[in-house]
Amino acid sequence: MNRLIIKRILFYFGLLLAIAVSPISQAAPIIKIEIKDHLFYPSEFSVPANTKIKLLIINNDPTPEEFESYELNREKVIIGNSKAVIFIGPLSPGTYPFFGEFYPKTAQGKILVN
Amino acid sequence: MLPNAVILILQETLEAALLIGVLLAVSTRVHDSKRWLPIALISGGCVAAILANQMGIISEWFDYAGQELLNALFQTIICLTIALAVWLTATIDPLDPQPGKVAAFSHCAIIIIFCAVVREGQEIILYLSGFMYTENFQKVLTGGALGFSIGASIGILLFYSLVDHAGRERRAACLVLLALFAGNMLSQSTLLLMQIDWLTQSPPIWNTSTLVAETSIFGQLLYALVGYEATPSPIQAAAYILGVTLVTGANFMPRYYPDKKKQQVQPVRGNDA
Repeated sequence: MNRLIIKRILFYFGLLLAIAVSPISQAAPIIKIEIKDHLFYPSEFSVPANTKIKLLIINNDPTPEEFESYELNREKVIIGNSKAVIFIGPLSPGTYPFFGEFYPKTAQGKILVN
Repeated sequence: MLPNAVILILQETLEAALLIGVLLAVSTRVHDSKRWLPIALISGGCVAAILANQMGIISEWFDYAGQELLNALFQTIICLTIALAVWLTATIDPLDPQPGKVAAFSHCAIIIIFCAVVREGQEIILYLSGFMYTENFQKVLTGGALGFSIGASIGILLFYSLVDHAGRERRAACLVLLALFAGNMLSQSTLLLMQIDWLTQSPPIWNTSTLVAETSIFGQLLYALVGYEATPSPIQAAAYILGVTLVTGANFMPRYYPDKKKQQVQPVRGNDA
């Protein structure tokens, strides 16, 4: 009986996951951000509202950095001299600050959604 | 530099410290040897160091989705193993603990803490490695040690406040905390899948950032304890509820579907007497 219930739970969990996961990414506009001397370039940019955006972050510093934003609910470590991809949105109009968690004093930026 | 190191290491340590505190309290109830703790900490630390070293390669997996997929996997394993551990503890009789089930609980605890340490440890190692050859390394290391100590102290405090309570209250408190942890883990894993576009992001179901900001100390503590998010998406909320339901269900299932073997053994004992 217990096994039957566990099997049922796992089945519905798998079903939910299968429905929710969409393996094929839709084409999204790409915004390139570079990290140099613990600063973001550009540190401020605009994106259209209600659109999914692909952020291509290139870390030109030899040290790792963590892209973080509480407003965007995003967090990702980018190793030194490497690149990373983060998808954001669709977002409603507003200002969404982001920062480098390893160097928060200098690495600051914001995304203007309009 | 020092305050940032304190905050960052504290944030990373807090989650694992709280989880260890709760699992230690549970293991006291089931009379477990607690040998799982050093095993999980050491093995987790070693694997975290290897993964941190290879993070550049891992990040490039699956078209730059490797980091998120790996962390989401760890979080899902934590959630499912918490449910299994809770089911085991619900079937263990504290007055007559079956060695097989206690050993199984220990294995679950190893998996949970191992995954938690690997997840948070790799970030700590990467952070510290960035300062290794700079003049600030000593300051960062001091700040990190301070943050680690505060995180560990909160975990110890949680453990003692849990074991200080009577059996039933402690069991209820541990169950609530573990259910919330599991919900948090599953919810965070969906967030990571949204970050790599494997899950579709939808508008948040509420916004409580003006009430409790995620950046505030209270917000951070709530995040570590119950997985607080100021702007959760519907999928995140659904995953959270699923995680909580899994653990709660695992706790109450033995009550409605008791162990058949145990039921069969009991009448025999009665006849002998």
